[in-house]
Amino acid sequence: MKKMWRSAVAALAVGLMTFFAAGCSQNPANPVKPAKPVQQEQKVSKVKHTIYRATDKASQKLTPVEIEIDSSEKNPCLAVLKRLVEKAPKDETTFPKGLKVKGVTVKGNLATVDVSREFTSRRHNDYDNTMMIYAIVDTLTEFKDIKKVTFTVEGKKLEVLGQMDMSEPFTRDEVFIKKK
Amino acid sequence: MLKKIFLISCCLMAFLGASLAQAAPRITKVAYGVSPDRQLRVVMETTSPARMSSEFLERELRVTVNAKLNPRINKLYVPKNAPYVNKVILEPQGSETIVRVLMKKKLSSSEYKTFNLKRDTVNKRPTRSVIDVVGGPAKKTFTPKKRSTERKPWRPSTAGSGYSVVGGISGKRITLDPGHGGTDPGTHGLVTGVYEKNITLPISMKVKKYLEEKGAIVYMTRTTDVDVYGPDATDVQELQARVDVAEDNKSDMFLSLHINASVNTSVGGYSTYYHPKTKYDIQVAQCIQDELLKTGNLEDLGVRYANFYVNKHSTMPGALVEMLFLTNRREEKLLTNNWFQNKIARAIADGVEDFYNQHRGG
Repeated sequence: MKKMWRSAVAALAVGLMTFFAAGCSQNPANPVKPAKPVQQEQKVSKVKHTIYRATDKASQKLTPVEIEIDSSEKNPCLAVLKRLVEKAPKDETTFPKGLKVKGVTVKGNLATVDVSREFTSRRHNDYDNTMMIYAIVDTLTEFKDIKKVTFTVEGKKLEVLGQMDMSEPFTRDEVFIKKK
Repeated sequence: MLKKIFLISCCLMAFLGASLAQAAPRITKVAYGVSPDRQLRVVMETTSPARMSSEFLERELRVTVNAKLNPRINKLYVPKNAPYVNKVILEPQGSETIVRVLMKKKLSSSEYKTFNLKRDTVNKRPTRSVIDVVGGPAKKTFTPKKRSTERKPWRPSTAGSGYSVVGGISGKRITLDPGHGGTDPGTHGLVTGVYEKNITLPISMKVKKYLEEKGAIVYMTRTTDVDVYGPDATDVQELQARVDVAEDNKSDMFLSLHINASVNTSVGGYSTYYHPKTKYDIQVAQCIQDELLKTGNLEDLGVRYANFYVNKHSTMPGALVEMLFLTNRREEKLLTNNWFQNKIARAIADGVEDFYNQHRGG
């Protein structure tokens, strides 16, 4: 009995090793093959979304940017916000450094965005705070069912941020969006 | 023989030690007091001059006095009129006494001092060791009311809630709120390091002057560098205290003056924010913004809707003005210039007058 176990474990180990080895060596083994076919495969299951970025510094307004996310994404709101906040271009100053979107929950037409503590790190910069909030609010209200957005920091309700009253949800404000 | 000498010297040392201990100062009485300018004073009467050494921790001042505490002296004192001080504890430690002043706020080295007083033969006072600690804000411009600690749910105000917009600027009650102050410096300039609180105050005082020249009655949430609620206030308490000044004075208008900031140092310009709790808020903001734009070739960030606390929670028409950016090099220079501060102040006062002129006939 013991012997059988041992051989079974050994076989499994060998099997796993060859599996991993194959996985690791796949890329260097086929260096000529570009990643293109893989992308095409995924493109079929992608959905378009509009996010708002403060890329246009001259107008000091938010500009719509089209992005794509996997349609298999369980929480598309979270995926979109993560792209907006955590994958922002380096020279974009809309979000504080290190800000993370920890979660988005939707109840009815209200989305609650949970963010990391960096959210309050620029509390005296009223300009930055409004841009940050409306980049998120205007991006999330692009989703059909979301009409209102509220924020929590590390799971806790926020009363004020700088001069801003955070106790009630925000609604979409297009004053911050660049007119076409 | 050696043994004898050793014994004798031992006795001598013991005797000397005892006599030294006898001469060591003792604390015979401790008195406390809070002065009208909120200084907490601890006076320790001693039998002979005592040395003191002090150290301060985050929220505690610890003074070691090399004098033995009379065990009959009460070891705990809780001051009544010193909001910064929790309590004073006296801890006997051998021939020394440790005085621990437990603070409610962070203490800086300029906020306390220790000194000795010589024997006063005229008034028959013994030698004394004294500790002075800041006990509260020096000048209070406003006494917060109990109710302001509780958050008021926002309700859109109904018509006729007390304010008036008709009949011109003369006699209108206007409350000005110089943003930040006291323990809250606001943002700061990147070149001079000047604090927002120290620019909003002089500009607000100038606005007050111009508005009064036009016949308005002006109230201020602060006229010095202080917190309006108090140094330990939550953000909501501090902002509500400013709203309360406007409400308590039955103001017709409430203006909060701030300076903007951004990590993007190329951003600049004026913006005026409103919350549409009355139909007049947006008009007030627009009138002020229009005048501000006449002060020079400066960016127009527009009249914007915002959820700013003070606008939302006050019942009278008003606006929050973001007077340029302290993080913009050119604008910082303008903001620290007295002539330009006057220009901004005059523009705001003109904007307010313009608003009332538009409603002169009702």
